[in-house]
Amino acid sequence: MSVHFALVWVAASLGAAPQQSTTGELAPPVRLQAQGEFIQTHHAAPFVVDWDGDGRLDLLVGEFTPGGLRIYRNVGTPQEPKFAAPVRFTTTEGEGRVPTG
Amino acid sequence: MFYGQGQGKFAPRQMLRDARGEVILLEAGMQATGNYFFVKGMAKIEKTKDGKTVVIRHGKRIEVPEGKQVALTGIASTAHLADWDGDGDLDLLVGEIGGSVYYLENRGTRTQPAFAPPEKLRVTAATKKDDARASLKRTIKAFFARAAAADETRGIRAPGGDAHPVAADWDGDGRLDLLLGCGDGSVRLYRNVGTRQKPRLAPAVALVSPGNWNSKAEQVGRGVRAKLCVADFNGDGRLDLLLGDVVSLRRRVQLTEEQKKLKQQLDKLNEQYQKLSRDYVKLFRKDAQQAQQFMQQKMMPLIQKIGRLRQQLPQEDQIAGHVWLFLRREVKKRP
Repeated sequence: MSVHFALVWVAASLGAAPQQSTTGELAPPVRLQAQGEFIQTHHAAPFVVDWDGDGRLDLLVGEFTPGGLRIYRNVGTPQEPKFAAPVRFTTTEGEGRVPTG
Repeated sequence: MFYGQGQGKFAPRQMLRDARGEVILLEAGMQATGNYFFVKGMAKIEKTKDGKTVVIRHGKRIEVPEGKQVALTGIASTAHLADWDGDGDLDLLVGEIGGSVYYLENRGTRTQPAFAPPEKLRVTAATKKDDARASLKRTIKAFFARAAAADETRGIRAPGGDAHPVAADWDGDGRLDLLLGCGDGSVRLYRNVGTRQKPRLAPAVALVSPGNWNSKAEQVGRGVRAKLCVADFNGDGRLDLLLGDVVSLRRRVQLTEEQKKLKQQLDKLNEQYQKLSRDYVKLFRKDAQQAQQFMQQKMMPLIQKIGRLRQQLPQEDQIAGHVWLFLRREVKKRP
């Protein structure tokens, strides 16, 4: 009973923190660049996809303000991506944006 | 949703709708708290001829309870499409500012989706049956895992809120796992210990540690509100992690003598503002109407003054978002 209580106490004190870390799976992070400059927006939301169908992954970055999307084409290789200056995502009615908030 | 029209063209945005054709609304949508009536999402507010306040939301008129003030607020929803139940069509996973994650099963088809009502994703801790089968060591591990996951068995909760869910087969076992970007800048992994068709999520494992809101501009660190993308970025056959964030960058600036005096004035005004803010919160709890007047009469002039002074000084802080790449070193298999 007392062992059980001790286990519960220790477990409770651990809270909901994750039990183990797999941080070793990942290399230290690097900040992505485009045309030699660090990519900088207002709150970035990245996504990669072969946007132009050339067999290389391009980078799409959503931004909080003004709710638009930047497209960085991969001008490097599939193994070593390099990104060109961004163009903005457009629809048939102008720049494609979503409301923020 | 921006539907593609071919040849690189996209239609203007549309709101996703559920199987009944209704706009998908999460987190109840409206809530009366204290003196306020919070409306989450997009809505219009109108006054009727008899002085009542009405919220018009997706074609529906809702009368605001008497004595309540309306406040519009977003929920910072983050959407991710994935075949979560392995039936060949795309389901919807949505995170929100409170830190919860919702699953909307697609009960339609790949080309004509019909989304079911949202249900919260939750951790399915190891069961007693599982424990009995395991060795003593594994039983103890399962016990701690269950205890740690306890408050996520009712629903996943991203620390710092602002959940961003992404489904990916992170451990390469053929089942979609859940990666979660969190408001504190961390990333969690919930392994799928169920099947491809019926996912069951194990307690969270930390993949990336939390970031910081503040960072030096000369030495940029990771920020908060992690937004994720999982993809084989460098074509080596392993899934990598991309993380977007937001951070307040502080620059070191050299001030002239005149600017130093302005800075001292600004610091004093900021102190006054802090005091007024505390008074405002106290007043708001008692009477929202009076608090609103207090804001207009006392706080707004000060805010404008602070704004004018700030414009005369070199900018020290800048809000910025960056994209971080975490390449995968190895793929750890589930024990």
